[in-house]
Amino acid sequence: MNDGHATGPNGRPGDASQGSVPASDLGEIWSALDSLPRASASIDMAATTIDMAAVTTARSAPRATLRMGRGQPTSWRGWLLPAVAVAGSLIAGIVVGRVTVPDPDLRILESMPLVRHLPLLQEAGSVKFLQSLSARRNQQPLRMPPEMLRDEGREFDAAVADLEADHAWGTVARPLIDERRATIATMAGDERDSIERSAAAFQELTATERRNLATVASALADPKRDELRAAARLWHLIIAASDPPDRKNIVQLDPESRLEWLERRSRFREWMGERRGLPPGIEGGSLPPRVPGPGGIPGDGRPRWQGPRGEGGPQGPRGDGRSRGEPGPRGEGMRPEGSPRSDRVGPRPVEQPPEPAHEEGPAVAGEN
Amino acid sequence: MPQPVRDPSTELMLRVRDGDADAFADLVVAWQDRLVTLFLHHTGDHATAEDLAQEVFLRVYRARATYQPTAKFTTWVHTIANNVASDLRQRAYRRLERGVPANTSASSSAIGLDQLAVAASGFLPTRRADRTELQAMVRDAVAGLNERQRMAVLLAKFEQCSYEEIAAAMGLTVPAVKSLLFRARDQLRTALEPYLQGDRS
Repeated sequence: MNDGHATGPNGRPGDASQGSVPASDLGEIWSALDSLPRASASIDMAATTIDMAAVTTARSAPRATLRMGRGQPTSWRGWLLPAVAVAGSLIAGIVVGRVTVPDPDLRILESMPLVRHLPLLQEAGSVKFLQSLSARRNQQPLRMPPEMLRDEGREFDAAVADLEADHAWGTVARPLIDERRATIATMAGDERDSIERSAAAFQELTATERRNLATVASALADPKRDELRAAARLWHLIIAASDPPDRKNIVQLDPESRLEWLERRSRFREWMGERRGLPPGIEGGSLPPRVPGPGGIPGDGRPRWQGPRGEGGPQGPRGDGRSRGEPGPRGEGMRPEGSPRSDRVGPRPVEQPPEPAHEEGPAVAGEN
Repeated sequence: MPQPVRDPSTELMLRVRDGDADAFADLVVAWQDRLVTLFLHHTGDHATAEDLAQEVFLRVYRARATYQPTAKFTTWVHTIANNVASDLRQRAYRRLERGVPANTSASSSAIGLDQLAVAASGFLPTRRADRTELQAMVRDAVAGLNERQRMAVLLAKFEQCSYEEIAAAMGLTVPAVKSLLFRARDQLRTALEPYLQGDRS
């Protein structure tokens, strides 16, 4: 192997004449690097880069103006000439920019279906997630009022129908751009504000995120992909049925984390169902793991009292040295499964023998 | 043959500086695959590579007014690319300090050399690795380099940079670049030698 990191050309013309020493002489190891593939940028990367550059230009102009205004001489003769020069440059820059730089508004109009349904598409996440959700079985019923369920479903269906009706994004024909512009012009104030907020959020997205949104939108707009639509609809309803403070965090999860969250939610609900099915008063048994919130917060976010010394501490859960299930001074410890409740009001059932619940301590059942 | 002072990219950049938007588009088209390749092998993730390449173009565009053709455009872009990669590393450190897990696809030095050597030795006894396996081995070996070694190797290999150009892009001296590449070569050899021996046998 050539140990020629100090010498040895890489074969590039011009190196020797420049007196530069090439760096690529690493012999056989170097040749192995040839196996690494050359990558290609995605087809819309150039367009989105130019678009982002245009947005950058539009944003940087006001800041530059502010900086120019600071620390100028107070005499009007001192600042008038620079101010005129700055204003002239700005106007010229705006004019030149409008002529030469792609119009960000045009990009937004080209992507209008994605912008209009941005929250829904971000909520759906990715095709991969929808496919996973579609393959998932044993969906549990949603706990929300029927009318709310119906309204949310209608809202989703309307959005999908809208996407199906207008699913042109990317490079769009001029007449359609004009049509979209006219539609926005006739929108009510609230609706237009909503579109403007979505457009601002859309411009903040990276090229990868925009491509992902377009992929999801294409899938939802395709009437042949019913299973994805059904999965997206179900997910929309699940989100609608979740606690409002949690929704944003849930939507921001990646596909795997979303599925994990659903799994934990299902387990928790199953456990809750089992608990409700037990006869009242039956306590004990190991608790399933609490349902972690999407941000990794255990439980439902409500604070839980840990006891004066902390549950499971050296003094036991009640701080008196006794553990759960161990009889207390009055025999009120945990009963075996199926044993009667000691605090039941009313006469003892006939079939229950009139004997204390526990051998230790005074009988509690006799207190009734 | 003397290197021309103004290469085509420099000419394009001068037009961008003068407000020619078409020239910027041409520059992006001309450079996007090169930068994506560089960042793909630096981070291991195509989407991250595209985002970083876009960041390079945006920095180029923002700094267009101050561009001076005193050096080759290539060197300038490589300097910006190195800065962008360095910023990515610093963001990852900050995330670690805050306890947020870093993006595993962009992690560096995730695979120890010992593991790589053991993995590579798996190719020895029975078969010659096909191209995909070789790619995976080389990719892991490159990922095992530290950030600066990796950038230097990628600039040298994929951008055909000389020591001087790498030094200029990374803000190092030529001896430092040589030392960096020497250590990188040794690490790559440690990781890949079992495979290469097997390939020869």
